[in-house]
This record gives sequence, structure tokens and C-alpha cells, in this order.
Amino acid sequence: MLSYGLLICGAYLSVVLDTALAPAWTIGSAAPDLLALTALSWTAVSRRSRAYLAAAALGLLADLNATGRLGVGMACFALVAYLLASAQPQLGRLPVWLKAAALAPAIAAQTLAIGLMRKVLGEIDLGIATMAVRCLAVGGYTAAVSLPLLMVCEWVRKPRWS
Amino acid sequence: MTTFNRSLRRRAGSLPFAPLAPVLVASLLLMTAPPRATEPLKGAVSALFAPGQRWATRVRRRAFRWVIRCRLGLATAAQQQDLSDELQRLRQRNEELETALALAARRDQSEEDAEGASSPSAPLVRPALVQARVLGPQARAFLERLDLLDAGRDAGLEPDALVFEASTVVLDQGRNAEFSVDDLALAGRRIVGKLVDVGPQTSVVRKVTDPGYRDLVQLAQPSDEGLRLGARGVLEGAGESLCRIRMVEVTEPVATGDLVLAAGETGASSFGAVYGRVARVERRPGDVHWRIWMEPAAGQDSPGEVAVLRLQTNPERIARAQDEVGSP
Repeated sequence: MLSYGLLICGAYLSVVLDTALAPAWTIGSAAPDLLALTALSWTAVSRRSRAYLAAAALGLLADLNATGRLGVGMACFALVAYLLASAQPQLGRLPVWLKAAALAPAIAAQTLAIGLMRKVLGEIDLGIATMAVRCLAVGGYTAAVSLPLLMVCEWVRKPRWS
Repeated sequence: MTTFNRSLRRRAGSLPFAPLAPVLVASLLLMTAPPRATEPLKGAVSALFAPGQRWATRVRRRAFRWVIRCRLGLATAAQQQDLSDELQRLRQRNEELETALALAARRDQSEEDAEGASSPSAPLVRPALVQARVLGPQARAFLERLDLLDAGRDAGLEPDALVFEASTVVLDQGRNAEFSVDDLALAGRRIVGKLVDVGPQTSVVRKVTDPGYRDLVQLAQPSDEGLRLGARGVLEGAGESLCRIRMVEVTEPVATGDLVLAAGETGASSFGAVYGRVARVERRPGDVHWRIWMEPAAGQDSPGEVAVLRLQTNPERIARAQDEVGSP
């Protein structure tokens, strides 16, 4: 229950920081996607088998805070989180920095999927190459931001007594 | 422990797709929902996050202000440090200059004392500067009408002789100010020319660049220790913007930028009068003298006022001599 409370707080904070601090920490056209980071980090570190459902809920939250149709973020968050959850046992054995590195392609894929779907729906008018480059930048940037968060998670979860 | 292992085993295999399917279907349905229907929901969510966003924006602005203040503070501190260093350097330089000045003053004093000890009095002849105004064409015409333009007539200087107006300098002082031919006319310490005709009230100056101008000069190289005097030569005006310096042997060191000082016997050498700088130096095969061109320091334009350097006897020496004659 406590972890869900943390997830809700984390999601709120992510949305707030995503919108309020975007002008401050945008590099070029890339800014970290904190809500995607929260969703995928939750999926990566959670021991629950249906953690991807929480990621889908966060995807819906992303849709509600974005312009355009609902459901796009929800579907993409759910699919990427499902794939990440499938690889979770292998991911759990990795050191923290590799976990963070593994998040980069996941977030880039998720952002790209959302962008492509919105392009198909006619909501954005960007070239696929431009979109891909931006998504890769967002993935890398978000993964870099995730490193200290994952380190804290690792430190909290690690048993410090015998 | 058993439960945890079972969970791990289940996750290590394929995850059940069944729970994901309704999520995907729901998302597809939401995509087909008209925007008008979803707008109220979006508005409610936006209102939910608005307080947090306001708070975050406020924090961001404060942080930005703090960062800018820190940067400005650092910049000010760096500037203060630079200025402090500069002040320290200038103070040090000032002390060095004061020391050099004191040493020079002491040296001069000791030289004067030595001269006083060896010679009975101060120098007999001293260079002196007398100010004179340069007359323009209108002033010349006026003086001509009054028969007061008493110099330069021999050189063909007439009020309407436009050929001379540009090149000839006429001064409003002559023998009345004890001027004499070959006195140097200066603008500051830069030599403008020489007096070639001195009348009772006016005098004519031949500029350095005028044809026929000749004088003895000495080259000097600026160095860290001061001026290093070099070879002597003869300066000649050629009617061009640059003057020639002749009779400097190729064995003497000469370089572009060297100063050209007066070295004649008019007192200008002790006065430190400057003719100009070496503008060009050439040496052709077989030459025994450098081909040197000098750029005059006084420039091409005539100054409004010049100072004529002339030698005068030291009144102290004259007075002392008269006293000695008068005394038994």
C-alpha cells in the first residue's frame, strides 16, 4: 500500500515538474520525461507481476495532461511496460548503471511510439527522422536523470542486516 | 519465501497477456472518443495539478534568481580581484617610477654640483623657446597692404602667390624676437622647419619636407633602457611627403621606426627635438650608404603656432662677468 502511495506521489511530482521545469532543463529540443521514467522505473523495480497496469494508468495521466486524444499514451505506456516487465528478472540482476542504461531505449521507444501514433492520428506534423532523433535524446536524457533515482531505490531495497 | 519464488518463476516465463488486452481495448476506445467529451476530464486533472505547478514555478523562479545573484556576485568578485591586482601593479609601477625619478634627480644634482665645482658658473649659452603665430593668407595680405610683410619677399612670397601659400610658413615674429636664420621652428618637440628669412617683424619657415631643406640628424632606437643613439646623417627635404636621410653608412644599424633627432648646432640636440621616424630603409648592391626615408613627425599641415628655438646667452654669466670686471 505504501508503495502505491509513493507511486501516486511520484506521478504527481513528475507531472508537476514535467510542466513547470521543462523550460529550465530542456537541452536543445530534449527534456526528460519524468512520468515515463516513473512508470518504467516502477515496472523495472517492482516485484508485482502486473506492474505494467500501473504504468498504463500513468500513461492515461500523461494523456490527460497532454493535448490530443486520450488513450495514446495509455496504450504505449502499457505495451512498453509489459515488455519491460517480461525482461524484469534479467533486468533485476543488472547493476544500477546498466538498469539506467536499459531504461534509455525503453523510454525512447515509448516516446517514439506515442509520437508515431499521434502522427497517424494527425495531431503532430513532424518528420519520422526528426521524431526518432528527439526520442533518442529524450531517452538518453531521462535515463541519465534516472540514475540517482535508481541508486536510491537500490539502497532502500538492499538488506542492510543479516 | 515459497510465494516469492513462485512469483519469480512466473515472471521469468511469459507474462499473462490477458490483463493487458482490456487496457489496450480501453485505450483504443478512448482514442475514438470525441475531444469534446474528454475536455472536462482534462480540465479537472489540470485543476488538480495546478497548485503543484504554481509551487514548482515559484521555486524555479526563486532558484533562477538565486543563481543569477550568485553569478553576479561571482562576476563582481572576479572584477574586484582584477581591479585589485591592477591597482597593486600600478602602485608597484608608481614606486618604481618614483625611485627612478629620485635617482635621476640625484644624478642631475650631482652633475650640477660637479659642474659647479669644475666651472665657475652656469652654461654661457642656453636654448630658449619663443612662441610665434603662423600667419595665414589673409593675415599676409593685410600685412602686405601695410608694408609690414617684411620677410619672404626675396623668395617670391606675395599675398597672391598661391604656390607658396600651401608650403610656406610665415611667422608673426622676426628680428624683434631676436630670431635669426637657421633657427628651428617647433610644434611641441616636433621640428616643423627652419627659419630661412627673418625680417624685422616676420619670418619665413622652410618646412622639413621642402626642397633644399638640410640638417644634421642622429638616429635613435627606442629600447627598454631608453633611447640608444645611433648613426648621424644628413636630412634632406625633397618636396615630397617623405624626407631623405643620407650619409649613413651601411655598417650602421638602421631599422624602420627608428627615431630621427636633431643633431645640429642650434641647441635642438640638447633640447631633444624630433624630426620624425624612419619610414623606409633600402640598400642596393654596391651601396656604401643606406637609402633612408623619414616620415616627418610634424606632419604635412602647418600648425597654428610654433615655438622658435634660439640660442641665447646666460644672463647670470653676463651679470657675473660684469661684476667681475667692475670689482677691483
